Amino acid sequence: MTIHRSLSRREFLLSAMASAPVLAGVSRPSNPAIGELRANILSTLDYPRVALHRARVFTKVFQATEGKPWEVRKGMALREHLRTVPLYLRPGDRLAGSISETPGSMPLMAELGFGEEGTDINPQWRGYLKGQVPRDVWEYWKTRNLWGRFAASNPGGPAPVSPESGRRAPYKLVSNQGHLCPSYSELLKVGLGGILKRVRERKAGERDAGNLAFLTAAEESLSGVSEWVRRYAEFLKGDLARIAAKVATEPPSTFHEALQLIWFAHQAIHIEGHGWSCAPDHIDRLLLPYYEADKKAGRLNDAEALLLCENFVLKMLDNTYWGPLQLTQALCVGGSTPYGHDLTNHLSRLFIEAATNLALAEPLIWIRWHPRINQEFFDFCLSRIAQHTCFPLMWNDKVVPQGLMELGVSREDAYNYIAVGCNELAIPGQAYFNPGASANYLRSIEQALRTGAATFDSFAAAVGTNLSRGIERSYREHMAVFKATLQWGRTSFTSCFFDGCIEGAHDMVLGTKYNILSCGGVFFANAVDCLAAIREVVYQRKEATLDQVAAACKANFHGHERLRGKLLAAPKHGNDDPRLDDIIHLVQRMRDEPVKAICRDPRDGTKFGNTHITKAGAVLTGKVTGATPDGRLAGTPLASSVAASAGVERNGPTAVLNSVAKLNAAKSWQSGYQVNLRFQNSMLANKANRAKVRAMLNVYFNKGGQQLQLNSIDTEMLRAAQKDPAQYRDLVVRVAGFSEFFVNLSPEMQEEIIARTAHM
Amino acid sequence: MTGRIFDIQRFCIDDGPGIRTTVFLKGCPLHCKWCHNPESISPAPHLSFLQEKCIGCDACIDVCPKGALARTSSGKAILGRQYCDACGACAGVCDTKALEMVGRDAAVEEVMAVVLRDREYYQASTGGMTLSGGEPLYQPAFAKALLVAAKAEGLHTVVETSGFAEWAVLESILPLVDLFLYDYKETDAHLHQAFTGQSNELILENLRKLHAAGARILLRCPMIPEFNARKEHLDGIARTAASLPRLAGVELLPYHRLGRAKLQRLGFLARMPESVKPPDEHTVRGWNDYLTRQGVNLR
Repeated sequence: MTIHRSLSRREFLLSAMASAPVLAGVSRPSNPAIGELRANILSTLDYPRVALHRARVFTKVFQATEGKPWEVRKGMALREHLRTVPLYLRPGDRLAGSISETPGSMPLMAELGFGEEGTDINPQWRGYLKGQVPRDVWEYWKTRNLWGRFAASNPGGPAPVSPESGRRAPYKLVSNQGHLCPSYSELLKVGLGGILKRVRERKAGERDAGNLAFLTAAEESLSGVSEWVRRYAEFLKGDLARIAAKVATEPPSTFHEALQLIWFAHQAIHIEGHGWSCAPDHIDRLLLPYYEADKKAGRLNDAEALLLCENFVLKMLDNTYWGPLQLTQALCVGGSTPYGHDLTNHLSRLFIEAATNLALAEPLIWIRWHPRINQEFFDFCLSRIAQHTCFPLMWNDKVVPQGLMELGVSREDAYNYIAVGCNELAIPGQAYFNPGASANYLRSIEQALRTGAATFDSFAAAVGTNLSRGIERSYREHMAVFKATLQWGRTSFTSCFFDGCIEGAHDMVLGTKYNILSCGGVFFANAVDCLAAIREVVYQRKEATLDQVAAACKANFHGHERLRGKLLAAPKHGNDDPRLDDIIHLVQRMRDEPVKAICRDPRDGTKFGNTHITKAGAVLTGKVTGATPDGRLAGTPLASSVAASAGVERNGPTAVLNSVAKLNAAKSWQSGYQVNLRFQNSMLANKANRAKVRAMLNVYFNKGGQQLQLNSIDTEMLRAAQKDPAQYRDLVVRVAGFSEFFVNLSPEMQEEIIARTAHM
Repeated sequence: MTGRIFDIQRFCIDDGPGIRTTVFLKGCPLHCKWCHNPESISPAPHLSFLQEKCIGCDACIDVCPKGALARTSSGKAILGRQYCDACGACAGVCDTKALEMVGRDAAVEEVMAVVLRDREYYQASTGGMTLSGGEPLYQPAFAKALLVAAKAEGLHTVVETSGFAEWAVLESILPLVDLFLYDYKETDAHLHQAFTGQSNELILENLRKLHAAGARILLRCPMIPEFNARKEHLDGIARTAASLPRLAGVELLPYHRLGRAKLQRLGFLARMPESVKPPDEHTVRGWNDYLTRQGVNLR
């Protein structure tokens, strides 16, 4: 087994988009104008366009302010950018505020790094910056920005490279952390003006230089955002102009005003530099009072509200950053209070409806399942999956808050959690997701194959030692980057939406209410299967030695077919097999114990959470990963979720879910895991079948499943599988009393199944 | 107590209410031309070979006493069925299950251990265990033992049957069965004989007795173009349904060809002419409408 390289967290996020529904799904916008806006946005998302205004202004301001504190200069530069950036509004758009001066273009965050990373998933875009970064901008920043400074202080770390080469750096060096959810409830109450007032009051009489630096920066950036909104008031016409004029400083009073203010603030956070996976708070809850008041006053009907929701979803799509459709922004609705009351409301439904109508790959739509979820609403959500292939995705209120409480979060706050990104968790304004280490199971197993361990226990101990060493190394690397961001990754505007920052006069990177760093682990299911196969074949049946397994993996099983057969016949995770129970717990322990011993948040010494991150990264990483002791061939997909390795699931979805429920989510996966199930479209489109799926999911969540993504297999996916079988090896279809891998069926049979799927 | 099964399938959603685990018993006294589980008809185990799963380890070639297996230039094995007597030696060494015996003897406890793994799902969906086949009543003692065990665990039980069994067998399981999925394949006795190999007299008599005894019955009617899909048969369905007032309903099962996917791996020849095509949606709706107009309670 050779692992050529491990994917960064960012790569998983990017690759997640590959598994999301196709960009141009069948959309049914509720009104032609929205349909045109959708088409207009999509027409500029075909390749990454670059906008330079921000980089030019930041260069000029930083050159003119040498000697001032870094964060003050950033605040001033942001303000100057917002005061001068050319404005535009796409035809039909009823929510103003754009990421840059040109439709479909992303700003360069010169003070962080030149971010060519975001295009890695689309190799055809590599080097897209060629010739586009002005020489003087590049020359000024190459040693001064976050990336350059990190490289200078960490010789041997990733070197600053030409922005034109298309090489990659850790994403935290080319963008801010992201994976966060600001809290917008105070913004809605007091407006931008009210927050600015709070900053000024806090600043009055402050003597401490560090505190003053943050408060000055916040004053600058908040003023800049207000000025930017006021410029829109002059630029726009009619009602949109009136709304912008109002929300430039004042709090909103209508649904449209509230939505517009949230978008301005949310967009400004992205302009300040928080790109990846930023979520707009519990938007359905925040907007409910405005929606209800408008309806009562006769100012708003449901059709109009749906249009605005669709418009908001399109604004998230239009939020171009490091290339189109790469932000994995989340929009999460529903959920319960800590006392079991359902918080799902009519707007939750409208946002899901809006996203379904538009059929987009971004934003990712999430709901929070809980034991008292309205079953009719849950049915509605599942019916939308039949139309949209995977949204909404689901978190479980019965499990997620338990994990957060395990990390020291209060019960009230834990139940306020929200989805950000692919499978990261945050609490609006109080905690955000931040990876601080990673565990590479497969590499640790590969290394242990060479130990010649005499017993399974000593083999497992060797794997554990390797894993522990790997965690320690990655923790050191992560912390070096993290420390650089503490200094040069500050964002004063965004900090205003995080608890304690204004009062404490410090940036959010220095700490918010809860500081949660996490250790990621990937391909858990393959790790379980590898250990199970080695235990059975090498130590229980003694059919091969460790060296033979190592040699067979190295040869990709050429000439070792019989050994591969034995390894494949060993129990596989995902089949509800009790023989794996102890191995599941062993693998969880192997990571949890070293993480507990080694990893501490450098800011406050708190312990790490654990997470599991993989989506379509399973296919990408699989391509560059050699054969593994679970019998998997080189280059074939790895496990796309914690549920099962690719293509080993034999006993159907209840067995998969029973297997997942054996994981201890609250203790070992506080920051989230990932479970995928695929169903033929007919399972979700037909109401009677859907009721059975719903019953199954209720059981799964009630018995401790943390997360779930349902993919509906449609004709398109089956056609894609016919064209590119290697990518769809794990696609199982159940027909006439047997299950089979779709790609194993004869072309004639595949046609039969496609015809049948299309009918249902 | 053991019996011969050829599959246990979890999360079945078409074999009765809720989420179910279906136990497929091997062996059937009928042999319907359209059977989509052709491997279920013979009680004897059968060798299935799916070349796509073969990884070319040659273990099967070494153990085959008949020399029925060889390696092809693609590196995968090939099976010469004319030399094979389905002894199963090769399946015993085939770790990837490219070669697999369809049909094995399983103990009641073994079957129930699998069935009970999904108990929570049955409870949440009013599901349970379904016996199917083959004809489950072709192994009456084993079928009854499974039903007794399921009832001891408080599970909802369904038996999917052709009705071709000794009345005493049906009578003996009556209290153990919550729902019968009872096949009604052809109205005309001669055609029934021609299509299925048996006349329908015993089947109809059992249906009437079962109904009179108070059993809950859903009539299931396979609709096969060029065979039974004609007006006279639809009328027969309506008449039969009308004569059984406590019937839980009637369900039409339109012909599909998915069973053909299995023919190649089983080494069977297709028994249905190529010309018989699955009915289109319009036709199926026509049948449903026709029966509804005659007052049939369709599912």
